[in-house]
Amino acid sequence: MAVSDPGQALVQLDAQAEQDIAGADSVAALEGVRVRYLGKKGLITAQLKRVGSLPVHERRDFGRGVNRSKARIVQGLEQKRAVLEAEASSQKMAAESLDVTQPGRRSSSGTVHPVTRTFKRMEEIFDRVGFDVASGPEIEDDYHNFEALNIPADHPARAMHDTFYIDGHTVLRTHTSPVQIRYMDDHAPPIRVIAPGKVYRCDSDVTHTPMFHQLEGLAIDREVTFADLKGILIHFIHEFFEKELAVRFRPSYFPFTEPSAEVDMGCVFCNGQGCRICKHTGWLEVLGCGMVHPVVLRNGGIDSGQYSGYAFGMGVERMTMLRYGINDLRLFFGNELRFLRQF
Amino acid sequence: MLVSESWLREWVCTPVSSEALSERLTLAGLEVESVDTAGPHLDSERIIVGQITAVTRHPEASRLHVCEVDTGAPSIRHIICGANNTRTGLKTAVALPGAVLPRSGEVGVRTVHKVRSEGMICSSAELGLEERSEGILELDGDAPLGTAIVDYLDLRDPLFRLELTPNRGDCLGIVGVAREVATLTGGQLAAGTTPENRLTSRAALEIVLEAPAGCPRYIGRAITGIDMSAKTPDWMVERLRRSGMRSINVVVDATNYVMHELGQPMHAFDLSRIRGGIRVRMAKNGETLTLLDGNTVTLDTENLVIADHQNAIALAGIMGGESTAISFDTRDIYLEAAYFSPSAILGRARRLGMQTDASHRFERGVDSRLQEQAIERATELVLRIAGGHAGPVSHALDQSALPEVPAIPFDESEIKRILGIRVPSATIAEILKNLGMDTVRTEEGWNVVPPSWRHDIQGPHDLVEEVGRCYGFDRILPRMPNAEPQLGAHRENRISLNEIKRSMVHLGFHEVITYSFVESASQQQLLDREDAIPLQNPIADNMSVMRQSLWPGLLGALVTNLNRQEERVRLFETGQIFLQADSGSRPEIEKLGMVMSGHRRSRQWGEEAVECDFFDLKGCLESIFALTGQPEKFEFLQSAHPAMHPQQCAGIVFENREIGHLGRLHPVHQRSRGIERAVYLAEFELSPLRICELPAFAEISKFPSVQRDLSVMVEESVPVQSVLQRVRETAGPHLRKLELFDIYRGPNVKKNKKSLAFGLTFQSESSNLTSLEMEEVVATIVDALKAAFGAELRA
Repeated sequence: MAVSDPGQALVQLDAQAEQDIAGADSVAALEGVRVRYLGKKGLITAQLKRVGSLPVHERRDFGRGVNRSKARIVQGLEQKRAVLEAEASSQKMAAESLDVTQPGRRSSSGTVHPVTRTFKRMEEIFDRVGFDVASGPEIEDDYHNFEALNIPADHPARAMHDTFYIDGHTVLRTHTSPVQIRYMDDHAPPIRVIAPGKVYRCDSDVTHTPMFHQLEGLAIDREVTFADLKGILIHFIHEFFEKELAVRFRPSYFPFTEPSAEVDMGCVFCNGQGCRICKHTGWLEVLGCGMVHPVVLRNGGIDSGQYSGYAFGMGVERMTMLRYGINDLRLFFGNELRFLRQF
Repeated sequence: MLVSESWLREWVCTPVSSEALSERLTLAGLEVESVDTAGPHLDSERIIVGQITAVTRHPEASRLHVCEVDTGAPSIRHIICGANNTRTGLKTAVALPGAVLPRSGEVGVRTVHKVRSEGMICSSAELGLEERSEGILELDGDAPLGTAIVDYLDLRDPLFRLELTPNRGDCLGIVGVAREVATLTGGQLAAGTTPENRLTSRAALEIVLEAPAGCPRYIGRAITGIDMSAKTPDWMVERLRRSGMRSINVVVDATNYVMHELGQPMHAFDLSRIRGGIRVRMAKNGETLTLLDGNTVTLDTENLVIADHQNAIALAGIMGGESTAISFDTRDIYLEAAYFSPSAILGRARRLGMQTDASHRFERGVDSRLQEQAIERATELVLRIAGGHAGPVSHALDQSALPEVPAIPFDESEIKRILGIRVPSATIAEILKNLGMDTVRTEEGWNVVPPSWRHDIQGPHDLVEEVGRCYGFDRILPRMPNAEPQLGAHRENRISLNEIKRSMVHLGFHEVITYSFVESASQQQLLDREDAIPLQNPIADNMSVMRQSLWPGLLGALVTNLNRQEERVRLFETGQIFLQADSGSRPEIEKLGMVMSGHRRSRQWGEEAVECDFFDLKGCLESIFALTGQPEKFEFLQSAHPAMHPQQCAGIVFENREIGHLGRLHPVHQRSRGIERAVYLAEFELSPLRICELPAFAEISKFPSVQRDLSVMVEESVPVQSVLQRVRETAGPHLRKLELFDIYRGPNVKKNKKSLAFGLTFQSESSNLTSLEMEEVVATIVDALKAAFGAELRA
């Protein structure tokens, strides 16, 4: 018979295809291989067309053989394509390398003033124990700044306040305590409130600026005692400095509280051992406080027989300096970016 | 108040050490600010008492003396000294070679113009006892030769510096502090007996109290024939010195000594200068008085004076007059011990620009029963030191005007109610008794009468404080906060100041805090207004008026930083500004201000450095306004402001009210501040920003959105905002987004025109939008823009 064995031809075709696929070195070359075997005029396609011309009894076996070859070639092509694509992709990525240590594209951020930072922390600490926040005017009348707080005209305690005057009965508030009176005017007990704000004293040197910030606190209810005052302030100091510092209450005098105390805490710089900052006492004075004077309660329209309360006040710059180790008060109002950027 | 421990211990016997004493006083409210020794640590071997036994003039230097000095050693020393008060017989302080003096260092053997000097004769200043002094130290004739100065003057004596609160006038004397020590340590107070002086003269003056409310008690005594040349003894000079007073003369020293010891200020007049008798009266309006310090003051009817039958001779409780001052020639004196009411003294000295030891004490309240003891004590001292004859004591008293001593009903349950602890009744009774209070048990509790020296004890709350501080605040156990829930306080639509500040920080701004008072002239120029609120007593010329804007402070901070080589500055501040209304009220308005200068972005790779401009700052404002959830309520309209560039200024309008400005600093103001680069400023009221709109959910459309771009040309003079607004008004209900993505001027656009390119996004909630619908909408918009602004569509 002149016709060669069709099975034999398929075997050769398979071997040739395998060789061609292996030899393709690009996706395009591989496509050429595919067309050569599987295209319309491809070698496998030609074999398939031959099936009809074979004797009936050979058709089945030969047809199966051709389909097997086709499947083998398709699989070979796919595998090779995956390999070639992976290679191409890695080459492309290799060309896309960059220096990850180059700084990111950014717009620079600013900072809040350290006083704001401290106020925020103080407000958060007192918020968690139920204190409201209140404010009052910075230009105050004599009544709210002094009289109502049990500091009559010519009282020696006025000498402790170097007051800026607008006119005979109007001042720049010398403390945040007038907010106590204003708050009592508008609210009935139970009262728990803090008043952060600016205050003014006519004094300027290394440790005084004519404007600074205070945080005032006031709590009035039935059965509020000095023990509660100690509790809240010890809690506050521990929270604020995130440290279980020693705290002591030293009797003092403020016209608007009785008894009055100044609060010292163990020096944060030397752990109470004594250093330059605590003047070798181991203690830092941080707060003034006391039980609200009955006269002040009365001026706030509150029955001092039924209610009692405590009040406290602290210098915010001082607390900020102690917290962050700032050594010069004047930096707070110098507004140099070299200082501000640190917060 | 300076308290010498040895002086204190003369008045109270307590076993407590100096350190414990200091601690105990501090924890009882008498803060011990510092403890020093009364003098420097002088070499006890080489700085000793010596006597000048002969003085000769230096052969070659006429201003120097060569002194022969006996220090109790076998041989006499020769010491050269330049002081004018060197004289034979004088006992003084001698520093031997090798001694180290506090200021001048080591003393050596020197040869001055061929004469050997074996040591140094010292002045008080050279010994470190005073800042300044004249001549060498003069010691008492009985000072033992060779004794160490540090021992002789007791310079190791601890000196407590007490920081007294204004309510504790009773501790402005050694005895008052001693009383406190006795209470706190259980010590024994020395009996404060009144010395008895023999009367050897009948000299006396009549005293009339013409203003008993101001002076209810006045006691006087004449002492005649005293010797003013008598030297104040060393022990007294030393105690005065360590109490902060200089020795003046024997009479003044004795009265000052009594003041510091007992707390009773006294005065001594030259008796021969008093005409008639003593009248304590209010001054007449315009009456003048020349005081001891040489100043003449003009008085009014608020001032209490001591007068004789012709003139005022002393400003009561503050300072004596010059005309009756004790001088070296004085022979007869008149001593005064009075009780002046605090209300008659308060503020008077300050108004005259003075503050004296006497006024300090009378303002705080002196013991109204102390005068007799004081005058006898002073008499005793004067007689002992300067001799003389004491006359009888004249008393003038208006009992009814003396301070009322209250009887305070005291329920001890108050202690528990205010302090939060239970103090045993016996302890309370003991504390009150030790403080000099009379306590009587009543059915309700106690009846407490405070002593005459405690003016500050007025009511039960004062007794609570006394018990608390003596018992010890450290014995009150803290009660930890136990907050009740506060419901109903949270409001979602509130924007906190902190949130606004945080947004500013994210926009690259640093917060500053500047003073609320600013320089008047530069604020006036910047804002072109002259109605700033002035301070009566500014601390400096450049802080004399209240700010009416945050800009003066912000510009100051900007300049500070530009001067520190900062290239790119963005600052903001929030705070009150202070205005004056016609009604007389002074509204304070909280504002947010900002300033920007330099590059748009910090220098970085891959970007050209671009100077910031108006729209950089405007963009920041838009971001801030977006916090409210309804930024469209904040409009920017062409406006003018004296601080601003006339062509680059916008007014910020909220609900038809101008709440602030945004713009470029006027080049005039920029130049006057020496700033080279353009500066952009903004300021507006914060209140509209503090409330935000809550999110309101709208159904998300299932239909696709359609995008159309549109480009039109309009005259330069047409505000972009008007065009955008017209587009919004005419774009129909489906417009979802309108973006202005390009503004173009140049080739292909006519002169004085600009091309605006918008992106419009449409979406319907209920259907697909057709091309036909879209074409109609775009045509409507174009027609509207043509009609309103003469806009031409660009291809």
